[in-house]
Formats: sequence, C-alpha cells, structure tokens
Amino acid sequence: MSHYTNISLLLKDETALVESLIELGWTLDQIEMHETPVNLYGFQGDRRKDVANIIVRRRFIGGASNDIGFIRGADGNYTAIISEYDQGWKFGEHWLNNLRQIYGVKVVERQAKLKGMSVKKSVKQDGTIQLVLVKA
Amino acid sequence: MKKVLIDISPTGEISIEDDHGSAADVSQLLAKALGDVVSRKKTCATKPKATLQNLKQTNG
Repeated sequence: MSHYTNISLLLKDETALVESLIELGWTLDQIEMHETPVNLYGFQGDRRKDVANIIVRRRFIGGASNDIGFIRGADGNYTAIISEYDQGWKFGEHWLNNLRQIYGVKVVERQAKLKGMSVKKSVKQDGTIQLVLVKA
Repeated sequence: MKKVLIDISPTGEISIEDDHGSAADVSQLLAKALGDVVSRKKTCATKPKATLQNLKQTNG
C-alpha cells in the first residue's frame, strides 16, 4: 500500500527562496534580505508604496525594470511583488512557476539531508521534476 | 528501506508518494515544509478483481 499526498506549494522558507533566486541567475550579494520590509523602487528611481523583505533591485534585472520583491505575510508565507510591466516581459506566471519548482526542489533536498536520505533527481518529458529519496 | 517519490510539476504542483507507509514520517515532514496538504489517500497495490464488465471487454 502507498500513501499519496498532494501539496499546495507555499513559499515559506527564506533560505530556499534566496537559493532559488540564485539558481535563476542572481548572486547572493544582489539579493537583499530585510527583517522589516522596505520600499521597492520603480524604473525611474521613484519610491513605491510596495514593501518587501527579499528584494532584487532593478539595476540587477535590466531593461526598464522595477524592483522585484517578496513580502512575508503574517502566516510566514512569502508573496511575490512584481510590477505589471515586469510580469509582461519576463517575470510573469511562467517565471513564477519556474521559481516555485526550483524552490520545491531546494526544500526537499534540505529536508532529505536532515533525514540522512539520498536524493536522485530526474526530469520527465512534461517538465515535471521527480525526486527519489532513499534511506537504506 | 525508506523510499519517497516527489513530483514537482512545471506549475509548482507537488505530489508525494511513500511506499508501504514506512516512510510516512518523511512524507509528512516534507508536506509540512512545502506547503498545505490538499489531499492524502492510500492506494492498494493489488490487482483489481475481474468484474463481469471487464470479462466482457476482454472477450470482446
């Protein structure tokens, strides 16, 4: 008999989220982490009312981008703060889904390490990442 | 031996399968770390019994 569990992914692990952003191309020193959220800035250098705990500034994004941020809610889960403009050219649903997939792998790898389990990773034809955790 | 399979779809949907319940603690830990549990079910690995309908289809 097997148990199947379906999960609705939540971004709640700061380290895994930052590691995911690094895997997407930024370096650690390009990613700001703030305990108290701070303002994001727009492409003209204008301070926005939006605030975030984890931020990639527009100078590290390119084009006429605005800052990208993630704000931690009262429940501890992070929500992406991405301008409509940036969603339109690069950081839309597809990018967010890619981030979520990478984040999921990071969380699983960390938990596997804590449990002393080995991880084998493969990618299926439909793009699904399969992780097999084994402990002898 | 404990074994857990995790599928993470390109849209971020996650399913976890543990074998024979021996790794249920690991899958529960992963579920908690990853997000909210949407559903959890057991499946039986035994073959389904032949029904009259199945037999009719087989015999064509």
